[in-house]
Amino acid sequence: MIDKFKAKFVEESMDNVHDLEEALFLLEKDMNNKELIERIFRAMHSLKGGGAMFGFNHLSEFTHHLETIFDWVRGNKLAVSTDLISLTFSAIDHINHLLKTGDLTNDEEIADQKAFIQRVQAFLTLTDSPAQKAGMTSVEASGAEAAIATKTYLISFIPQPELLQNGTNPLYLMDDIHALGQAVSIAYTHKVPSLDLIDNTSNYCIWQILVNTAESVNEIKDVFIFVEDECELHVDQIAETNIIGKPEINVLIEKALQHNLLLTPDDFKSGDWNKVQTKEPEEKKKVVVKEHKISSIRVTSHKIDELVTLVSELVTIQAQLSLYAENHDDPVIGALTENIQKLSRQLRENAFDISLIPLQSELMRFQRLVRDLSKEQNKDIDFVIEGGDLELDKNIIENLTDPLLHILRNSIDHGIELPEERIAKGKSPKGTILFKAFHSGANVIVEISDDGKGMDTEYIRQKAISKGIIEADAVLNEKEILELLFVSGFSTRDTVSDVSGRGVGMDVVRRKIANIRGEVTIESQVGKGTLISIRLPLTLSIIDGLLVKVADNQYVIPISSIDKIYALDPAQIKQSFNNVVIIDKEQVPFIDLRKVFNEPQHQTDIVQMVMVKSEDKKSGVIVDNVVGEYQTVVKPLGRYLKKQEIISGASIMGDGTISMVIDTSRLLQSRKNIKVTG
Amino acid sequence: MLAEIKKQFYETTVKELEDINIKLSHEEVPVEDHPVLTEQIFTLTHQISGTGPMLGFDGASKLSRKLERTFYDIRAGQRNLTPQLIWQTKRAIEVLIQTFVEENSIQRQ
Repeated sequence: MIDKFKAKFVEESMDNVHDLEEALFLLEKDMNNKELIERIFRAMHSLKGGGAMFGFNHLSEFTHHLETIFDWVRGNKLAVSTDLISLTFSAIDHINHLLKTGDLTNDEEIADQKAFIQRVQAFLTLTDSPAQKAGMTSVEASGAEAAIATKTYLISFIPQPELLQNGTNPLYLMDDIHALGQAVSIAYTHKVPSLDLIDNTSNYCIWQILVNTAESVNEIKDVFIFVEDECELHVDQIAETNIIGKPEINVLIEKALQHNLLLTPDDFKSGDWNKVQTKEPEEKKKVVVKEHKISSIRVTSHKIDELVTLVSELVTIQAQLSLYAENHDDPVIGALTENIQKLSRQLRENAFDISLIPLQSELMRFQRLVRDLSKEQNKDIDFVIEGGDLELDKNIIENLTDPLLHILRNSIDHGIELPEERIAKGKSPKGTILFKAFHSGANVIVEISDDGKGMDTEYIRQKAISKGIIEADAVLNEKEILELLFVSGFSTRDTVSDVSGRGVGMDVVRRKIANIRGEVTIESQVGKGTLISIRLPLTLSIIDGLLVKVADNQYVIPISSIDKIYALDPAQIKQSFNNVVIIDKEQVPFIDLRKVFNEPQHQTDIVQMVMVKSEDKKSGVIVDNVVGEYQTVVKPLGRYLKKQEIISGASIMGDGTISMVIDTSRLLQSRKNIKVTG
Repeated sequence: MLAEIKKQFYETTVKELEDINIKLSHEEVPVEDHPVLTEQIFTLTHQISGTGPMLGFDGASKLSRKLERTFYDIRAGQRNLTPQLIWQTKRAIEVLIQTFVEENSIQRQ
């Protein structure tokens, strides 16, 4: 059980750390922002308190010192500086480590923590003692001034029925008001029900008190401070002098009790005491209990995965049901199936919606990387984020983080120049890396661009020749040269740095992105910068597919990649040269799936060509015929079939047969390879 | 295990509340003691508000949240710890102890 609490604490603390990191980034840009300082202090404070409670003693001790620092900052005893922010960033890394490992057991680590704490404490000792805040004395002075004369106030205390339920005794409050000066209480009991209906835990009374006191309004309100959520409270000054006991006042009280009508400050205006003043309306305090509604709940990610899996199973079963209804020609079952189909589609969309998380959640890591690396390399970089609130399937985000980190590292290490170099080139000394995410049809595009030195294609070409990746006489256009960067073992960096340049970069990036059915492209201009664009699907496990037939087998082509469908005469294909047909007076390259899957040639009168697009390439895919649209649950192929290129998964049909899901981008890629080598 | 955590939480919290109550019962709490006292009340009530609901002390947490809020303002210099406030805090802490005791006995039943 304790583990469960601990896990929950760690989970919540991770959110806290995330919030802390975010606030720190913002504070770096606006070092005097009180709200951010408060946010950081609160986060440290929660980590300290929770840490001690759940046995993270080292965490608690460590955050205690940081909390002190930010307490000093809050109290204007210490100014925010870049050094302090850097120290806090390092501290965040240590907090993350402590949250993951729990208390330190290794002597070396304990010594490290001690050294770190000393660095933190050094901040406190190096700082001069602060000047006292002037505001404090003026507050006290104003309180003293108010104590000079006595005034009469009307207090309306209208408690809610549940007042008694948390142990409050309203009569004690009356006593406390009476202790402030001369007072008279009026109890309205007209709402008290008959004895048989009374709930002895509920309050039915309302009180008004006239008090003549030298104390301030705030002092009076302080009496009710711990019941303000359970009551409506008004404190109005009704006279500059003591009017309690005057006959007119007694009449007013009598009348109010008779009619069960609460007294108002206006009732006292008509009296002969001239100095009656009512408080400004904005000073009236009306405390209403705020309703607390739960707007979100926390669910573990495996539960979401389970939900998505169950929905996928449901979609498969629904396909079986559809097939059964079709075969049995039963209108009742047919209608029911249609409804189930609609529902399962909605359920599928809902389940996927739940599994979407904002990209923002990972952006903090990227910001951190840019900040730390640029400082390390003495580069000045502005990291601009656009579209951080865009949502993606959590599995995609998980797989996307590493490639993105790698691309960013490349941008900082190879792309952005040193400030002096930039000035010499007539650029601003501060480089910019733009991270942009946006929707494009059924895909999400993530672009990372920099205004750095760009890529020299001739240099890349020479490097590729020297590494034996291409022949010395190979003729490649600019785009094809940039594609070489994705070849395994290619690195333009002459020396291996800590950052990048190990030659295992971009090919791994492409492979990882391809694993989540994404595509990556590079555009670059020497002196201007580089743009890396990643196209991603919205979801992974269920896609809208087009079911097609090739010989005796069915295949699924993702609808998101389809442009148009044409009917063709098989003769056109036979007569075509270099796998290109003329359609609408345009030359269209095609891939015949019968050839790809080693099936015998077409014997039918007509074939269909599905136009698919990938990146900026378009190609026709020849199939026997199109069966129709199909909600496809994509299952992985397993490790034995992992090596094959153009199939991204398999799907179980309603009749239990299996259809392969075609990876259109790899299919088009394979065509290009055939062309190049052929 | 949970019962053990609850027991430990209940015992240490009630003891600390009683300690505070003794300090508040003095004729006059010296002004120089206010910062330490404020910190102590804030930290304790913050802890009760956070951990109380997890261990079933809902009523106590509700009241401690109010104290936490008030002492948060005092710490931030937005409110003064007046004799009235000290008096009301004493009252609230007595209620808090009583609520703790009641909720603990209900849980044990």
